[in-house]
Amino acid sequence: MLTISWLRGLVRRRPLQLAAAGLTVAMAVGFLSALGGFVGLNRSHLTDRAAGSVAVDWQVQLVTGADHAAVERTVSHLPGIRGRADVQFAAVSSLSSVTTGGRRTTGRAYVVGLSASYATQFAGTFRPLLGTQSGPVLLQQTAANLAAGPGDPIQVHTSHGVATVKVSGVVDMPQEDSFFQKVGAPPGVGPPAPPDNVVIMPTADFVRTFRTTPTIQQIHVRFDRGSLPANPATAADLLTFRRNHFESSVAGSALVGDNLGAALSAAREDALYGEMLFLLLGIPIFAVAIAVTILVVGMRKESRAREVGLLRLRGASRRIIVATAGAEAALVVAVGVTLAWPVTLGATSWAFNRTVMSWLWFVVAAVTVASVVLVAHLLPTARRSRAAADRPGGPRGASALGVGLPLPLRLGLDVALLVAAGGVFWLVARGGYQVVVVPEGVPVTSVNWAALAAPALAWPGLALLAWRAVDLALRRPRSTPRADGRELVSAVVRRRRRHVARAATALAVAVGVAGSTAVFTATYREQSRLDVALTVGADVAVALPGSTPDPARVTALAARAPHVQAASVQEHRFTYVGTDLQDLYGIDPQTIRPATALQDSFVPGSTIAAALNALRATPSGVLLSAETLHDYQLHPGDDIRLRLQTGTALTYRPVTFRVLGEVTEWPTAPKDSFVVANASYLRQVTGRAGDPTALLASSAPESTAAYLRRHVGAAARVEDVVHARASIATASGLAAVDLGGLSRLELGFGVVLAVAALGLALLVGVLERRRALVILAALGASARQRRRFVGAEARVVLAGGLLGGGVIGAAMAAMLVKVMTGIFDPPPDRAIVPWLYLALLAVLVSATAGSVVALVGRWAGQGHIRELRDL
Amino acid sequence: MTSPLLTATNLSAGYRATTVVREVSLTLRAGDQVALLGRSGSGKTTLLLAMAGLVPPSAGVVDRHSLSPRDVAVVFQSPSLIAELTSLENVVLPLRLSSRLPASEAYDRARRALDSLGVDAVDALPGQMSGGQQQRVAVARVLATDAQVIFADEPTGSLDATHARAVLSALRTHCTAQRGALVLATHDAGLAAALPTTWRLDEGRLHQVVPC
Repeated sequence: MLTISWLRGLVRRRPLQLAAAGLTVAMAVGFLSALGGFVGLNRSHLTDRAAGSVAVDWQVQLVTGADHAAVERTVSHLPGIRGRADVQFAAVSSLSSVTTGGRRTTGRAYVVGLSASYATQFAGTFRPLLGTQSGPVLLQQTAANLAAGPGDPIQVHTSHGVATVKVSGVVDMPQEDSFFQKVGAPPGVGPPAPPDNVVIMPTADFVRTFRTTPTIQQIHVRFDRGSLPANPATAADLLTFRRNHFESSVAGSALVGDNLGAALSAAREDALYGEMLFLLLGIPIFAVAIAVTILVVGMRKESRAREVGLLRLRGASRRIIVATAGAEAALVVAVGVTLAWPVTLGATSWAFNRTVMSWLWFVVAAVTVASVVLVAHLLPTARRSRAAADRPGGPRGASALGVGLPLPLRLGLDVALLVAAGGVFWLVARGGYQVVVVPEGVPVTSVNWAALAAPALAWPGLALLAWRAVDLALRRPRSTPRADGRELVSAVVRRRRRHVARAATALAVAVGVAGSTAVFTATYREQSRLDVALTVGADVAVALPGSTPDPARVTALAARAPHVQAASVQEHRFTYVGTDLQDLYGIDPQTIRPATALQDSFVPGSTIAAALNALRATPSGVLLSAETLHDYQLHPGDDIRLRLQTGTALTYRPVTFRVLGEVTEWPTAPKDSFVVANASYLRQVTGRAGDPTALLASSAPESTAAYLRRHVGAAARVEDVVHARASIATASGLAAVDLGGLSRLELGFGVVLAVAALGLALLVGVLERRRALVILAALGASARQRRRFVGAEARVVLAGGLLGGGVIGAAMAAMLVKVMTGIFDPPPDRAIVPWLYLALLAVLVSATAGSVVALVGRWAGQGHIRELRDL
Repeated sequence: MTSPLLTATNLSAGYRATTVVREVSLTLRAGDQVALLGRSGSGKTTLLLAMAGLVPPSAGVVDRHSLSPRDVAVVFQSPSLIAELTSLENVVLPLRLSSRLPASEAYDRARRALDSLGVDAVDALPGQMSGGQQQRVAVARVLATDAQVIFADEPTGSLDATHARAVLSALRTHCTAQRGALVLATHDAGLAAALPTTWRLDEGRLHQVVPC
């Protein structure tokens, strides 16, 4: 009964303080549950993305002599099947064609037989380039090797004779590797290189051609992706179980090439990185949110102390006193959790453009925050209720002053934590910072928790160090008398240094969290943009097939397009390195650098400027991938003979080049092996130009691309980074769009929490000093003079918080970028600092401090003289 | 008769909806030294604060004539020291806020005021002092100023008889020197008897004025 009337009184007399406490609870719960929503959303997004990258889910290969009908029946009973098609492969000794330059004959080739509906059922398997797909089609490289196109006849050399087919089109196969995989290869064996020469023909033509030749029979399967679990790891496991069940059902008649399972398995790494982001970026913000909640709960510390004292004087038992505190905490939590629901929906709607409610996370967040609020209410109340009857006014005088360092600092915990963090960081970074461990060939992904120890130790270490720094700065000797009694203002701040340092630390951590998150996400966004630019080639790329008439005119037109800041032409061709066919990029080292995104990290151990200078100085120089350097035991300065198509007959001839160094990334280049050389030298030694791509740096890529699409004709393929970003998955899997939502959420909460931490810390400081402000007013201090007393403290808190926050933010951002190196592709040269956001944060925080000081100076100490006896 | 320093006419004042002081009229002149007697809750503190201008009257007028706010000082019932300032700093605070004196002179005067009341712990913080010491520091803070009118609300409540006499004597000396007035609220009839005038406040009404 007493508890209910107590609560009624609180609601009537302290509505603002209760509402503020409820709101901070709502913010903390809302943030954590929105963050939990991100984890769920990210997993489901990664599953969708992984599944979307696969055209053929399963390739069921029949063993020789298997009963096709029986296997097909089993396939048709697979759960969630959306489509299936028969596919046949035949290996042939060669293909040939007759051109104006003479007869061209390839090496070993594959012929694939497909039904007419295959391209529709398994969309994404082929990308049409020329002609139609109504008849036999050639892969792009095969067409180049045979110098054949739509309408040309080619010969297929089988073991039983030669069949002539008429080419109807040319296609590209984006998933050539998995399509031609060796189904049933033991785990750990890498995929074989896809064949260079492939003809795809309708089933009827295939059967006619290979009636008497042994062929490989496959049934390609596509599942309903909507029925897959949201978590990529769970989805991959489900497919493994399904495959095991299928293989046991067909009793050895067929093997399964599980492309979908492999893609989902690869996405598990990205899902773990998503969870790392949650840990590394989310937990510190949640910790700040909890600290702000404790600050708000602490705003009633003094009045609660008085209330406890009065209750004890009136004979209330400790049990009743604790019950009233518990009831108040319950009321705050109830208000907060009720408000947290719309906060979560609003935050996720704003951050992810859709409302996400993860009830599990909501409950976890609510229970965590409720526990904190309960402890923050009950602990001091229980402690005070023991001795309150003796001193109803609570601690006053020196006992209320905080001049000493807290115990962790006296023990040097800050230094110990930072030394430990530095040691762990050095040890882990020494072996390459790999927080998510994905052993090759093993379907297991794990987290290197030791790698997370460095940031986990550095956060509290830096926070404590900020506290120590502010405390040290305030330990200056007593100041001599100054105008208007400012020495007394300094004395007050100096003797309140524990409170001031605590507030400055809270602000420093909040600013540090917001700052490090901002730097990390800006760096990720930039690298993600760079990743897309690398795939496209530049801000805008105009790719011209070899058949384009007058390519020089088109590239010149591209260079003059609106908003173009720099242009360079890169020529593409193929070359044999040993028996390995690789992409060869001919560049102009003088012009390429400003036209496209090149980073020093692309050339390990060197700089882009040095590498381009070396190419300029050595016309026959080449940059090779690490894989090529390693596999062929090559070193800078060695000579290498590459086989290139030369002359109009396009016959392959060896040409000697000089190895200049290693290159890991290049615009439009594949991830594995490629070669970079001087375009002018390549033209000179081959007597022909490669397929040119104009790489354009543009201040408005969309406008430039639109202009070029209108002017360069249908033959050229114009791409720009803005359009491409929506469709290209970054290599890390965590696309910018995913992190965009997370960063919006965290940066938004970061600002709110920094402002709240400072505002509340100052308000708590004022509440603690309400008595002093009343005395000042009674002694005749003007509003300006009272403001000076509050303002001096606010200035120290603001300066310490911003400075400390800057240091914490910089250190943690550098550590975060290093720890999360795995999600950057390519790795960044340096962290990107979002100055605008940081400036806005500093302005908002300073404005908050100014507003609190102005309001308090005007309000505090007035009209409360009568309360002096109670304060 | 000297001209009035402060005049209250039909003064009423209170706390929220409760009127504590009812229609009090009085005049303070230079040289007045008054003991204000009354039971607990009779409105002594409210009357003092209303006359000092620290509580707005709910009715009536307080005319302070030519007195500026800094010419009126209050010794509060509780010591009312700033916890973060030493004895000396607490005493010098009003002088430094007013900026009327050079800093060195202000600090000298504060030391003298503390000395006059026997407080030698000039560098002690309030929390390090006894209640009696704190009360004497609070009185010294008033003595160090040039206040003409002093309202002292039970300034000797936590003092022993010797220190109580010393405080009363110091306050009276200050008023005489400043040609001002002193109103001292107290429960102590003996202390009241030491002052030339006694006012009695009962149920918020000033019933009895006894000229010295």
